[in-house]
Amino acid sequence: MKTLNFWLLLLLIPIMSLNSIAQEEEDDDDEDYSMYDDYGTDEVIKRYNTVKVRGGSPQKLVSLGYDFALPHDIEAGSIGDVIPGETQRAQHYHGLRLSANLPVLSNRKILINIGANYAEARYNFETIQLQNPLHRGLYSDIRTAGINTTIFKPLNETHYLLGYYMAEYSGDYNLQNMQSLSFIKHTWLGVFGWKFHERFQFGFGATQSYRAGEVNYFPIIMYNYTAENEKWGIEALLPARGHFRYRFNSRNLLLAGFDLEGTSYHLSGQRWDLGFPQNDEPSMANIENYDNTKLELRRSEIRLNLKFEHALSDFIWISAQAGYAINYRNDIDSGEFFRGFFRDIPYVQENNVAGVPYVQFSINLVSP
Amino acid sequence: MKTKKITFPLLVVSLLLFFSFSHDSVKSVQDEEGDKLVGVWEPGHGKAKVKITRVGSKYFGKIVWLLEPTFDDGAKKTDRNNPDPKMHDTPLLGYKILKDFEYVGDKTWENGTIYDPENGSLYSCTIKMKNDNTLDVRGYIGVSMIGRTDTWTRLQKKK
Repeated sequence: MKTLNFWLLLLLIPIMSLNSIAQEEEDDDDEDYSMYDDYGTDEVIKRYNTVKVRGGSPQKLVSLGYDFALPHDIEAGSIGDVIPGETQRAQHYHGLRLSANLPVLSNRKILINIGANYAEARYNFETIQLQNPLHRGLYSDIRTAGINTTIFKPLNETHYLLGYYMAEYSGDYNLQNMQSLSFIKHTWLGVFGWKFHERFQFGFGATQSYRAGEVNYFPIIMYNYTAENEKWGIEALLPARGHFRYRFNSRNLLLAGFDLEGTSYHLSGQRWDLGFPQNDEPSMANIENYDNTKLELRRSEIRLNLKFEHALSDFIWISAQAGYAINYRNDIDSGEFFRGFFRDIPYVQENNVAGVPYVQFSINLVSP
Repeated sequence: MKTKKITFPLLVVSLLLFFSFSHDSVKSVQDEEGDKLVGVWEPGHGKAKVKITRVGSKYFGKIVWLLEPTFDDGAKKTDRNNPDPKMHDTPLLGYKILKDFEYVGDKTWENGTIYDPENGSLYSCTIKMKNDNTLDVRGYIGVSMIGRTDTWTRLQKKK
């Protein structure tokens, strides 16, 4: 009996394990890989280029940041004969910078991202006895919130199209005092480009943008390049930004260059009683289409900067930035209009803001 | 009496055999479906070939061919973008970039990871077979929504 059981079990064990053994394949690390030269397909595969350039800085999917600028003078110009010019010293301005830019459709044929952004500049002055409407407007804090979408469409292995649209809601509003949606600004951009190889992407196109403070139309150049050694590179979307990049390794980057930042902020002159002259003020008669309910601060600065980016993990990066913000425009207009390339329409108020050192920190969820 | 003693062990063995075969036959159907992933595949960029095998109940894929097998300085490509410096000298040829995939039915393999040697990052990954010769390979960060889908094509030995 014992002998019979033993033989039965002996028979059973290999049968039970036979099936699983038959379908397992052990990995062979000493494989001759040259045999795979002969593997192919009869199918014609259409290939597409990708938006990323090898060695480039990671794309920020979600970013939580903070911006802080040091003390500087803000010289407000006169407004007609009604309000005299005045200089005040800002102790600082600071604020949150939040953004999200997430893929909703991403495959080899198309990439569609949707995004949102928020940035604020909270001003503190050395005195709160502010007379000039510019200083009083800034003291109310200015902020911008926007939504955007980016579409990258590769046409083949080399050519691509890039489109971008953003709607921005900018002004001295807050949750208790929102402004009309009619003050929303629209930015768009279109690029046709080439990806010559994995390390070089070039494109050109045009944009309607408020980066220079007021609506304008620019030709644009997209230039992303990484040197053969993958240490050096250039990331540029001119004239909006341009940086040289040094890559210590895949987890640490240094960028040196500039960003042109700006938009047009609606100033709620009447609601906040900022002291802007009334529409029928005689001294304003020579200001074209003056309307103190449609005042806009055309604010733009060129930020020369050095950015250090470091990976905490595969997808969490921190960024520290220090730089110097040069005032490009900080003037006030009445209403929304395109000044034109050559038209010399005066501003309601022309102002000068001194250059100011600043720092910015952010923590980011990235796509490397 | 003697017959009864023999019958009981035979019954046990028969039952064991029955359950073993029925379990194995279900498993084998599942494995057969899952094993459709096994083979040599080409990612959408066409710059590599990846051989997928099954080890135990999981599927793994390693690089078996590179269009550009060397760096610009002529050295064989290694995993130099890996955040772990110990891996920097590991050759990319033979590198397991797909790991731990499990067949979950419906021509889908889940719970695996895909490694991108271009930036040294490891993504969560799901593989879906569109047809016998085409895979949708989706690498993602945390949640499936934040990711990118690549199309891989099955390769056959031509000679």
